Amino acid sequence: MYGSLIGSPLGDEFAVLLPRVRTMIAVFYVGLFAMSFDFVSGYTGYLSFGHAMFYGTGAYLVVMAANGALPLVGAETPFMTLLVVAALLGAAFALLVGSVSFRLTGVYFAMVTLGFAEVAHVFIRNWDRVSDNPRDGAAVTSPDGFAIGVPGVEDLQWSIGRLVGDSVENAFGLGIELGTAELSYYLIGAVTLVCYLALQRVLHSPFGRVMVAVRENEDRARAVGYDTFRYKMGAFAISGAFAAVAGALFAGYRRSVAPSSTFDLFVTADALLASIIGGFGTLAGPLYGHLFHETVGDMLTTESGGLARYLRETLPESLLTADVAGMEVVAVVNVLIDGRAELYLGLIFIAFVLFVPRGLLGTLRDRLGGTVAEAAAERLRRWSP
Amino acid sequence: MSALGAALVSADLLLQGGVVDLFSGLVGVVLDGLSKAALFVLIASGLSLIFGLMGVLNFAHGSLTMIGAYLGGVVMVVAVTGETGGLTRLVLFFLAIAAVFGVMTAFGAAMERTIIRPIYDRAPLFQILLTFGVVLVLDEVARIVVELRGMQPQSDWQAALGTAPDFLAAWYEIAGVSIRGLYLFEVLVGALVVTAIAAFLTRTRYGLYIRAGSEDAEMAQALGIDIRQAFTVVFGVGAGLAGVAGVMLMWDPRYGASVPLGVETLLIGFIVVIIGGLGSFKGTVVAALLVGFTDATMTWVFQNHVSFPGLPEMVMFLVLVGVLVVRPQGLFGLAEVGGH
Amino acid sequence: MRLPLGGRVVQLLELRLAADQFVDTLGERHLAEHRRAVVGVRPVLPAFGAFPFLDEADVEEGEVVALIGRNGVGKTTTLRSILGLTPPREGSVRFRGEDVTGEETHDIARRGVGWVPEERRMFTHLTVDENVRIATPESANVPEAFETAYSTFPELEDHRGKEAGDLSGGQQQMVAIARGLVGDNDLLLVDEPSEGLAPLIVEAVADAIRTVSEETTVLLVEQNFPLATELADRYYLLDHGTVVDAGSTEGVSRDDETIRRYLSA
Repeated sequence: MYGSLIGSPLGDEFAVLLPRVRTMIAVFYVGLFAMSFDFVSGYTGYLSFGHAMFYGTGAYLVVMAANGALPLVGAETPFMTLLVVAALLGAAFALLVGSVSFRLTGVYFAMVTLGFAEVAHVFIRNWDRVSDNPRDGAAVTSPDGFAIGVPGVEDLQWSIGRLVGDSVENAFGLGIELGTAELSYYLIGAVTLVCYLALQRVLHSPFGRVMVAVRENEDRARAVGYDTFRYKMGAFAISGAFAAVAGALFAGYRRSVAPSSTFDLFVTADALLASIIGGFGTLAGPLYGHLFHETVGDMLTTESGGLARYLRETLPESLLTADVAGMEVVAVVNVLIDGRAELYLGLIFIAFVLFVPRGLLGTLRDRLGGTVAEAAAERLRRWSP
Repeated sequence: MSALGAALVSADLLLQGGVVDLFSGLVGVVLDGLSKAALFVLIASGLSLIFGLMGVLNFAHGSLTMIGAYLGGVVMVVAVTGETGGLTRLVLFFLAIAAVFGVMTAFGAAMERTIIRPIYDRAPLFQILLTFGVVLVLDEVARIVVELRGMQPQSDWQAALGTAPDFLAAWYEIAGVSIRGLYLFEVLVGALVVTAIAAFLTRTRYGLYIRAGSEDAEMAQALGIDIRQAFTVVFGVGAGLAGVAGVMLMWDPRYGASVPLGVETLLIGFIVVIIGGLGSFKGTVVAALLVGFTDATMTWVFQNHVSFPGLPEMVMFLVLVGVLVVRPQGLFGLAEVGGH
Repeated sequence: MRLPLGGRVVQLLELRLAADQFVDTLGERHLAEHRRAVVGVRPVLPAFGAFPFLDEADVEEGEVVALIGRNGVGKTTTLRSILGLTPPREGSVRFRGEDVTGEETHDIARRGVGWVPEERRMFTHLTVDENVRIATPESANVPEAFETAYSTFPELEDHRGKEAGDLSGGQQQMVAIARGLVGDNDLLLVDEPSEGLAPLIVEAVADAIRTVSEETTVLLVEQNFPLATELADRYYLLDHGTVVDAGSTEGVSRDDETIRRYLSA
């Protein structure tokens, strides 16, 4: 699909507008991270400002285990097992952090979780077990890729990764050809989908309804007999577990971790952006929110397929050198477009907080009066004879 | 970075021994702690005023400090040449502080009017989100401008650091401890700013409004005080103070003007304000001393006993977590607002 | 006993409020939680059905008028509505013949409406002097205000430099009334002044209100029925935001049929 659009006469334009497969993979694992953030923050109303620490835990677990730097989980541990260990570790850390943080509410909760994450951040930047230079993180040294698939069945497992990932020439004898990127895309997408369904299941259970009750009116929830502390702890543990899985997927695909890409405040910011733009308190929203984020980032990238390069290559020379308020157009392009996604995302984010607090999906649901799937099905029924 | 000064202090320590070692170690920690406390109180006081009166935790505070550092740097770099004498540089520095305070106050007031005001009646969550969005934008704008001038946004602005007069850049010997003149100067500036804010809060009518409004904004309104106007003024002054902190940090080799300075100072500011307690300027000052001395002590411990370089930062955060658990409202905060 | 100033009756305050804005005690507690938060917060209060309008109520210059009724019938909300703290959803507040509905609280206050709120609402970290000073209008003379406050409440004179939070309940109530007094107000809204005070102190507070009412018009909310009728010239009996009875306090007793019905719990 993507290939056919890129191959079309308007391929250059599509290349600017559409995200690349590689980008879509990031949409899955960061999207899952953002969903886990939204799961606790959007549904219980407790803003987990240190969420990056769980993501980082999963990511570092994978890389350090593969390098044999950890006890119990050796270098030969299958990736699927690592995902489970990551989830357990994420949940355990969440319970630890939560036991202190849930004594507080509102701004204070956000602050103390951020405090914990910063402690973890400082620790990981200085832990000499990570690598010789922990400030720069660590990379997987072995050449083997991390495999996703059915545990124990060698034929139903495929490796992910940009360089070490598998590719399939004739999938299931159907003549489908999948490159390394496409295969990683489907595998990571599948794990993300399973996680999404699991989270969705929790939210639609009685447990999920108590989470929303905590957000709407915690005093009342407590007054009718719910031990809200335990529900909040449970929600936080689940959230931490899936954040760690997301981090593990990230590390499994990228095969290297650094403090700035895992434990950093701005990693939590990615989840915030995705949740607010996609729709706070709508589980699927953050995935779309991050898709939006990556799409804007991709359009404004300095690499090929970016708007800046496209404009420089497509616009006539005379226009590029024309003056705009004393600067050449090409300079304006370079300054205001080339790799400036964060600026526009920040502005979009502010606009969303001010004017679209329910986000894309939340607003869409308000308009449709139900979930998109329900409303679409309803309309289809109306149109069918 | 913040370990650099103390590293030199304790390098000196290692050469000596016994009681002298302990005594000069103590002096070193006290001097280091005071200079850090002075910087921390500069960083946190604007945040504290805003948080105290409006309950808005301004995530953009660090970015305002960062912009203040660059603006102050611009003033100094433009005005100072190789010929400029030390005293003239000092005068220019105070002019830069005044100018940056003015510009940032206007900017803060405009920010309050346009984007903060519409969200007072929403959940506190949205105030965090909104001001965090401002961080993203301000940091990126700063990065664009700095890159346009052909500089590295990640690393400290050396030209601005170089405008400090020689007598501040030099090291002095006090009780067997060598300390940079600048660090003593920082203690002086910190004390001046604290005195000025305290006088503003206790001696002026507006300060009275702010103290009253911090405790009970509704009652203040019912006594005829235009609290909305007070919000605008305080947000402006808070932003101005952030800028002043930036100008001071621009000269300090442990910090220096750079884009990451924003997040670095923001986290320090949070720790100090929350430990001190909501709405208490006294608390902020005490907390700045506490955190400053914690940082200095842990830096000394790291230099001498423990080989973990992240120790000071980690202990600072653990102090924050500890205080929040024991006294959610902070050391001097009002009990009833704690935990909200 | 009416004291029309200058010999003629002046309509000072006219109220016509939609009763559906009056809420039960749960709503009021909700409100109390919010009130220390940022001003401008307009909490969504649970409304209980659509009640009829609060019958027109008015206060004339020089009077002391009491609002009586059970807990949660809307007495405090009425005072808050006058000040624009809980802006009326429907209806209007007229002060000195001018419609002040929807005006900002500080503008209404500056028109000469003072508030001695429930639970006194001291600025606990401000000294007694500062509490008095902050209530003094910018144009007024501060030493004169101190003189007024401390001559009315000599007991406070000794505690001028103390933080208001360190005072006893009765002393705090005096500071609250003094704040209303120095504000150069034409109308003072006094909410539950006797609440939580020992009987002896209540007598002192009642004296203070009597003194104040010689200078200003007072709209009083008071649970203590004998005290309310003793202080006030007229009363309005409220139930669910509606005036169910009104009249002169002269000769009224707790045992009157209507009053007993609406006051008993």
